[in-house]
Amino acid sequence: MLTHTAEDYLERIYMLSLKLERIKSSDIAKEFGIRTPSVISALKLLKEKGFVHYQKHGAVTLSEKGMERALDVYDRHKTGYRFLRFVLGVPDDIASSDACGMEHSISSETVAAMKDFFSFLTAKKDKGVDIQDEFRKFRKEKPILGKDKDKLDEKSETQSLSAVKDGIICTILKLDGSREVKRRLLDMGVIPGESVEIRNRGPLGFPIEILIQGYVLTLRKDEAETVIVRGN
Amino acid sequence: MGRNYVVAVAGNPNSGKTSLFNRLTGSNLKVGNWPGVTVEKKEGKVVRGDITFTFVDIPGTYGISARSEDERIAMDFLTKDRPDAVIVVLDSANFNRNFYLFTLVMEMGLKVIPVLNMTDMAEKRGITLHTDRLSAVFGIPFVKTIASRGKGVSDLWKVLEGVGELEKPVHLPAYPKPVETAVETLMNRFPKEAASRFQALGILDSGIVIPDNDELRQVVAGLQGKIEEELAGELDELIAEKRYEFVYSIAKECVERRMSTEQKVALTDRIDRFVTNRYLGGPLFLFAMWLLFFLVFTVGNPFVAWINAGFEALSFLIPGTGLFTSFVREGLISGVGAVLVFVPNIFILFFLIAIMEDSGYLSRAAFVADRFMHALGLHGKSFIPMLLGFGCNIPAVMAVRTLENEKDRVLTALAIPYMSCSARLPVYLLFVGIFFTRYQSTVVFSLYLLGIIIAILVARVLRKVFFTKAVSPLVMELPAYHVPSLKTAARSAGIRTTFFIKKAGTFIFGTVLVIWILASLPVGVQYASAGSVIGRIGSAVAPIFHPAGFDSWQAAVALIFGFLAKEVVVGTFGVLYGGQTALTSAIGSQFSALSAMSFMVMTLVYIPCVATIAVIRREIGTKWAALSVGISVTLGYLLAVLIFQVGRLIGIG
Repeated sequence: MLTHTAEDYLERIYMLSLKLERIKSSDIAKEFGIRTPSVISALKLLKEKGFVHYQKHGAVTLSEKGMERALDVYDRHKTGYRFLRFVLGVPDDIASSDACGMEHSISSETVAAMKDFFSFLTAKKDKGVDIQDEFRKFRKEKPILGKDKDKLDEKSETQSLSAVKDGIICTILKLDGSREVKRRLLDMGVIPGESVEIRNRGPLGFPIEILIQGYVLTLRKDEAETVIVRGN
Repeated sequence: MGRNYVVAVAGNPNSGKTSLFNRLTGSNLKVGNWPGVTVEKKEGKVVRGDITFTFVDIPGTYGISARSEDERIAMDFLTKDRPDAVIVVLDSANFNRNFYLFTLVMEMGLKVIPVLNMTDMAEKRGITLHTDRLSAVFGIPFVKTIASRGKGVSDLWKVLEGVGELEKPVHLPAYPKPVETAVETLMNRFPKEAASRFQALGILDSGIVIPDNDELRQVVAGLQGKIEEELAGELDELIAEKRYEFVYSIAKECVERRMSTEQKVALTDRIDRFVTNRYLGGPLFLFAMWLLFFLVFTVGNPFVAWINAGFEALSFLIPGTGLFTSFVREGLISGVGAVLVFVPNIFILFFLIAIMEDSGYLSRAAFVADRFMHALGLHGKSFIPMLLGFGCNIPAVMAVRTLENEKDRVLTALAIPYMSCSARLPVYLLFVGIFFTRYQSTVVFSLYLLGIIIAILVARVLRKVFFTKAVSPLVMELPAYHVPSLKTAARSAGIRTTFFIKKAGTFIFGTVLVIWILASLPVGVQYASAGSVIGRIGSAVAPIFHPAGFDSWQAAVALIFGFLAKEVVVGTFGVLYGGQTALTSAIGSQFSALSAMSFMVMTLVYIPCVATIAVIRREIGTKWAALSVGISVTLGYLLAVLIFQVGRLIGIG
């Protein structure tokens, strides 16, 4: 049985292989924020178990067995993250660190159930039932007490664009709408990573005018709710 | 030997595409519809030397996918008809969003002629585009224009004349490895369905409908799963992100922004501080709408009166009596008159709409009205057509063209006929003058109100029945303000007016002739008398109206004539009862206050008039026009019966 750190290694190597042509032990060290010699000793161990191909001063590549394991861990991580982040609406950083813990202990049974739940949500949304949205609203209305509340206020800066005040510049994180709305927004430059600001409002508070890509776009409340942003 | 080139003209809305198209085609214009849909298609043939160019105007869009009608048309034309080249008109001041569309067209593997339009506006905003650098990056010539003033058009012609030797662009966005591999797989294995990078990517991110091919579907599902697994995130977001990143990288190299003079932005901002202000926006909007209504109808109607008078005078010039004279007078002349009488209102309306659109106010008006109209189940832009309905349903229905979404166009066009137009007023006035002398205005007002309520209910019910899927979104650009071009506006109004005369005219004219034949046969009968075919039809159907309280054959005949135009109902009564004084007493004896009320409601609701049906058919299709007729006749009849029966039950009349 591999230790957690070994699984972590395989996952990191896999992620690096997507970005880099050639992975060196120093790249991995940089990723983990540890010294290169400790990486090298870990790599030796992994090589012994047949997970990586590695020569001294050479490139690190995953063996077939290692790739299989890495993809498996990565899949568990991604599914866990997506579940926490987009189904439960947990803030990005918490979801990320929780997913790192979950990936090693979660069973494939649970991962499969989570995936089915994503398809279930998508199917519902195509029929016009937005369960994620209802859950978000439910959570928003639920009174939060004491210490937890302060913690949440501090951490959960993500919100839908419809709840943002005028003149505050935010960064777009995610588009949650139906395919039709999402496609339209993407085509018009409402892209994750872009900054956005509410410039003005209609007579009764909505629709809103937003500044994006250097021009003015108007959205109804319904559309603004599908744009998830984080304050800068 | 002469060569033929088909050149598509594509671009974002508000990019100055129409101006450029007009500059290129001049007056050689053919206006029709795209096959199978009611979206306007403009084509212009121009001969330069030994080359014949056919320019095709593609609907203005922001993206190209199968999600909206306009975009589907653009996509089908570009990917299936494969024009020889595509001119992409780009608003220089809005580089990112416009270049995104340019990127999509490039990925289709077509020859592209990018036109950087409105460079003057961009300069005023401190944005300079370096055409030399852009040309070097893409390996194709870029043309700078100010289409509204005709600047740079000759440069564009030079590029067009050499279109045969034009290269395809060499620089395209690159995607993460798994996506590139998938694109390659698709293009190799399915060269027909994935004929270009654009189509391969569209199949992957569900931007285009996957062709009916089981093998392809399976492969695509496999590829999608693999990519989503390898790259966290959703494919459509990912691909759009990469395309925008590509655009940003081009902007970084080729666009220079100076921070100093942002005058034009400031001007638009300053105007919007009033126009879309939370408190002032509404009143300003209402004023603009009042002005629009006033100009279309109050200014337009004297012209209408002249046309009417002209045709009346013309018919007096035809001497004699007899069948032939009657045919020329009541058939031909009034048939042509029935068509031309709408021309002044339609021309003024489309002139003003073009000005509002060109200046940038139209989308602001939609922005201000949207909350209210959305609550009624319609779009902000539906307000203008609905309002115009009070003046005349015909230009009102034609104005649904300003709506982008087909669902909204259909619903608005089907709701408009219940807005009480000015032609219905003479009927109300005739009856309230006889039966409701003390409450004239209250009764007339309640009829207008009833019309509005019916229009809203019809729109809501039809949305529930036909368009159950979520409401169409409001994702609308508010373009920077422009000084509108009167010439473009006049041209647009001219196109619309000719379109109306040609396409709706025959239908209206034909109906006038049919009614004339029914009223004049059998030979020798007095026009529209009890013995004529129409009189007999009237007598035959009259009993149907017994439950509604008016079962005289004259009322039935008047309603049949009302199909031509509602005010004809009054005239028909006049003819049938023999003169104005006889009319008052005859109506007074044949109707009661209650049956007068039910008759007025019937007049309000049943079939607006043949011209409205003709334009509904033209704008949204025969099926919907037939539905509109069906609903309005049934609803009118039921309401008339309901009013009469309930009234009798509670003891009125």
